[in-house]
Amino acid sequence: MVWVPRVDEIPLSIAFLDNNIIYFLFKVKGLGTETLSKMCKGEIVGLKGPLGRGFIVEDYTKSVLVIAGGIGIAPIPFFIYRSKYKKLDVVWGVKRREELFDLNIFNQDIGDRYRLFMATEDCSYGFCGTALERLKNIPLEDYDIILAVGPQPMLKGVCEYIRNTNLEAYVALETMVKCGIGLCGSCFIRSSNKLLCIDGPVFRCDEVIQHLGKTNNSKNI
Amino acid sequence: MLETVVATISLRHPVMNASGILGTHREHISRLVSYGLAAVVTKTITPEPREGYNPPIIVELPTGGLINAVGLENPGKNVIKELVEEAKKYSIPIIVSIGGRNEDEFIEVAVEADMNKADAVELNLSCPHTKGYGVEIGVDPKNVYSVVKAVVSTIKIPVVAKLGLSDRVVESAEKALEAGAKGLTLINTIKAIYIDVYSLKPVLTNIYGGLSGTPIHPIAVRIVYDVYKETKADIIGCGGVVNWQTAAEMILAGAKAIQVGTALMRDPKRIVEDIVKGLSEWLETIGIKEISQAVGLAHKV
Repeated sequence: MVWVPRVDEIPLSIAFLDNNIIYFLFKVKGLGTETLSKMCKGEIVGLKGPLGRGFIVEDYTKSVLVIAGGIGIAPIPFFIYRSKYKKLDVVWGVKRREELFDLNIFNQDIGDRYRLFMATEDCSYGFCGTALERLKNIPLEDYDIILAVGPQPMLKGVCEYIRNTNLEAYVALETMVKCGIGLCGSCFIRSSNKLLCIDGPVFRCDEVIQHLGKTNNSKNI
Repeated sequence: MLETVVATISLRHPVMNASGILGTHREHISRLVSYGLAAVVTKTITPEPREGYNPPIIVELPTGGLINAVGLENPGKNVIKELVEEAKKYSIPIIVSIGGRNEDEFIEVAVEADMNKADAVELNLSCPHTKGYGVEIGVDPKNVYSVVKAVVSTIKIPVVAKLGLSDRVVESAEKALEAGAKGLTLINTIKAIYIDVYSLKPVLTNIYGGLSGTPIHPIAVRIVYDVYKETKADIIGCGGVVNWQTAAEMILAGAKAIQVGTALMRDPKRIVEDIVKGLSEWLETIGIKEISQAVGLAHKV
């Protein structure tokens, strides 16, 4: 978690790690991320972590498909860099083309380790539609593992879509995280006894399918 | 050998969680049960939902322990039904922690706990960081008496008063017992501040928080000792219990059960298992058959 002094503490995934520099990708959503976006070199932030369990693939025989919605793409550059696999394809869907950027900004070498399929909801770039709709145009039998990262409705859609396949399916959840160390319970996974900050953020679809169908924790305190 | 009875609640062993660790949703209760605790204590519940403070709310300290100011975040009294139902599913006793700004608010939540057949209520008269609640009420023995008395006269299930560090804690404890409390939880976190030396600012959003974990253990043991000495009351010892040794100290000082909070941060199942197993082996080592016989033994000097 990134502490912006006297403003907020924000749960962020590591987008890349290189030469003692930690990179974060985030979307400005509230006061915390807005303040963070305006900070300059030399200003101080606090770090708590890494929290939870990391997720990488380490099997050269597996083909992997990543579905990312919007800023859900944040941890993917590091995931690509660290994972070992046979093949990796990334579907990245955003609302408008302005939200797209070069995924290789942190390390150009990862560029030839994956294929990228982009989708925009306003049809301004790549496939016209959502990441989930783009996914439905891809032959799933080409893959062994699927990882979805993005907004809850997209994750739910992905889990439902692949339900009757043999794919190993994982989703990285985004839920309100307040303490990050398993004590406050803000990030509990509904209908399970799991906590996102300890057991997640990546879960198998079958572990969280009921959670995905329910309201976000933050709306129920 | 580890069976104990505290505030009329029978426990298979003396370890429960401290209030504030999970405990506001059905899912939290099943997670706490999975830790192997003999009873679960809910997070402090107030009549209406409370949102609590913005993060950072809990921070690990470089000097050991944690500082927290969560701000009594909870979904309000209506959640009690599902919390009790969940605990009953596992046949685990459940103690509902209650917060309020006045007698009426304590009664309102206590009635809900009573109606839903919780095993006991624990009155939070000691939270150190939320304006109008906790220690602001509990620091005055007269208030302790009136809140405990009001709740005891209204509900049938046992009432436990949770008191914190104060100069008059023995007097407060005596007042709680005089008002009809069946037991005491001693102690809560201790008001503290943590400042970041690089940003030059307090870390917690609320600035002030409650210190917990090993740094407060000797203080908690002292208070359990002092209160037991004067009252021989049923005491649940709480504060910096992280292993069987710190638990055993509480028992020797006079506690019949103990609560673990901060230590549940890492590998909670193992922590609970180690305490329970360690206490059994310790009793064997010192040649005592039942844990009840070890309660308060440190007073026989």
